[in-house]
Amino acid sequence: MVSRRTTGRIGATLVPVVMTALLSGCMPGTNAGASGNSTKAGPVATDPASMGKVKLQVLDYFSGGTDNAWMSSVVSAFEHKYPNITINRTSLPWGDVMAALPLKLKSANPPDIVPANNGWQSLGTLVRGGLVLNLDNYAKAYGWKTSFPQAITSEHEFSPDGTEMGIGSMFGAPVARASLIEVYYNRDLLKQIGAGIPHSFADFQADLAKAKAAGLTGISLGNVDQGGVTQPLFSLMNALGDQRKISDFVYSQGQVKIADTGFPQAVSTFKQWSDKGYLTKDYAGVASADAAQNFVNGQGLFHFDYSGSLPLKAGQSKNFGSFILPRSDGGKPIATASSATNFSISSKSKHADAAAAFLNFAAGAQAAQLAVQNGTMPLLHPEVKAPADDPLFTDDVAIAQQVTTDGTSVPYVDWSTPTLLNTINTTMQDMLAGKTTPAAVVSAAEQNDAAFVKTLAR
Amino acid sequence: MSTVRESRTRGAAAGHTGAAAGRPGRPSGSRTTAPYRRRRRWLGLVYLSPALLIYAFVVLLPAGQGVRLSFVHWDGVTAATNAGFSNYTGFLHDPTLRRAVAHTLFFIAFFSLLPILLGMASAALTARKEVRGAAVYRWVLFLPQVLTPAVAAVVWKRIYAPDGPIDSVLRAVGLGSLARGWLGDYTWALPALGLAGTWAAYGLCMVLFAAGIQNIPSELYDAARMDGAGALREFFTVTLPGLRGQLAVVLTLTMLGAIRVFDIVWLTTKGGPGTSTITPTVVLYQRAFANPDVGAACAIGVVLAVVSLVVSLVVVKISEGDD
Repeated sequence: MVSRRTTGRIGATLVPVVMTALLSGCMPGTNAGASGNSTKAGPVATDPASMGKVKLQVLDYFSGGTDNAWMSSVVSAFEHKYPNITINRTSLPWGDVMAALPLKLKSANPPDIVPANNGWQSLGTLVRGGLVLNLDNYAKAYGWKTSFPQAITSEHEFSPDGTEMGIGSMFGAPVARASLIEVYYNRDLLKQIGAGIPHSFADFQADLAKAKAAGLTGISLGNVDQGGVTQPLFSLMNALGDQRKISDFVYSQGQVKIADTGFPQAVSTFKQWSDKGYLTKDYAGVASADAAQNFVNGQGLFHFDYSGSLPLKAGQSKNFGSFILPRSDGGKPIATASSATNFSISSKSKHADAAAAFLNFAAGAQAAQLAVQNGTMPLLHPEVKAPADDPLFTDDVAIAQQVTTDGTSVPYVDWSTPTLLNTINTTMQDMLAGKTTPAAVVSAAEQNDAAFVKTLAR
Repeated sequence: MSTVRESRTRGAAAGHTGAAAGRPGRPSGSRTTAPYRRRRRWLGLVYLSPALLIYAFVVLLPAGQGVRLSFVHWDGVTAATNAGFSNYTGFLHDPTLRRAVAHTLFFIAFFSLLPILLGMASAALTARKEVRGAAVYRWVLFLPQVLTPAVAAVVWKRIYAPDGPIDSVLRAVGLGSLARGWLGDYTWALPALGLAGTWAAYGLCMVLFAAGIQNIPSELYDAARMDGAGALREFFTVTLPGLRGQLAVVLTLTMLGAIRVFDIVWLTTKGGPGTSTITPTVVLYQRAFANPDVGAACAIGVVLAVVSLVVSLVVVKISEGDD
């Protein structure tokens, strides 16, 4: 055991050492300039075969299941086509990627391709820090801005100074795989209550009332882990609000208020559904994963969730189908949708041309076909056909086609500030438990947005 | 610190300090022995240096960086701006953080005080006379220590679910009106998580106390019984003083556990419903990783570290006492 006096000596020696080490370091983050936000200088090459031997480092969060299967098949298809380019994939769970991405991009040897999440929480910050490459020259060379629907392209755009989202330069590119919020339905239960697939918002509400009358759970929902509210809430916004305004709210930094997007109506309708008993009993104490499992087990007529996230076993999908919540004004249904990942290129990448070629390939028709073959929802290529033996997947592919063709997608609302998702989740719980009013949820979201917009101005 | 006081503590803690006890009251200004001593001390440091270097790089340097970052506003990527003490004043005016601190006090009761009381009681009961199968009880009660918190969280989520075992039992005995989604209930979510913590900490407390009691010389108990002490008297005059060391260890461990509680909250309620189970560590995690506000997260971390240090020092101080 070290005596007290010795401890004092050790401290006296170490403290100056540590302090010197600390003070000699400059303010964090200052080494990253906005230099990376210029586009790649000089002409860009678009023929991967003529790029010589290249090794690309790719980071992604497709670490299991169909995600991994799709990504692996895309990588091998690309390597097969261009044997001079090899791709080293590192897959980490989503949370790990998000936590480590800034550090990885700041390191001396960052991955060439990274899955920065859309929105201000991740991609926006990296753009402001100059850590990801401006892809405009590649977008021009490959024709991305004309071949992708505008609604999807916007999700990867920022002004080069990093103060605006949704316009300006492309700092990332979509892949030919979708991630969107849809409504799943149970065919047997729909038949049991004498209802059909709802084609209008009124139909949908009528189905909920019929389910309630028949003693069934209208919507299978679980929110104990704050994981079940946003899917129905965003769908309701899309059904009751305006596509343009929702996108503008996410992108415009305070020009459009969240109160104008259909958000207040969505919050109130959600409350009504809860009050009328359309949702799983005690849903506030049910885990979101349990709610999905209960729906698959036949307890619940509808279930709002992300595409491809039902815990189905082989052959179980026959009894289920999916649709996008119809709009109250009878217009084309709008989906909260994005590419399954945004892929950006590190501004330090030595192989930007090859990396961009891979991005172009991952957004291409073959990648969409591979998505369908691996049982996951395609994007950007309406022409791909779903295999005939899975009715639920057929619905999913049809939804993706519709969204791509009509351009009826909106970005995830929570991209608009880094903390909005948290604010919505906690205040919605308060509101649904009767602790606050729907208006309080709206004003909390408004305040959150306003506070963030202020930080963008600096 | 006066020399008299120092030598007294050293003498009292002779069992611990070993060599230090052998040289009480060094004569001040003794020129002949001082250089020799100093050299010897530096020699010790040389032996220690590999460990110290690693410790400095792995613990001290990051901790220092954390302190430094707590004085800036930083999103983790772009240039940081000076924040002064504003990240620290968040503890005063940020309602979420204030609630989180209040919840910590609540958790101290469930993670520390309750398990200690229960552990002490059961250890004292089994200590007074031989209980058949005591080892099996201890093994079962110690089991939570073996489970990782992630597993425990999943189990408790299941137990508290609206169709879980608690509600099933309530319905079976005709108390169906009391059944609810416990973790989704504003009144019950916090105590529910607290009880899960009690369950996790209780076994450790009991085992440590039971071990401590076995070290108390049985003559003390015999003497107490000769003097006609009952179970209660025996506990307060023999068992409790004999368990002082164990009490300090357990108190330190469980209180720090309560201050740092994160896993079970994050894996069950994420701090909800609303903010009714939020803890400082959950806020820290959200600010550090979900929303890039590294400075604010570091300030929370620094405050937690300081509080933890103070708590351990106070506990050690009290438990050493002045014999």
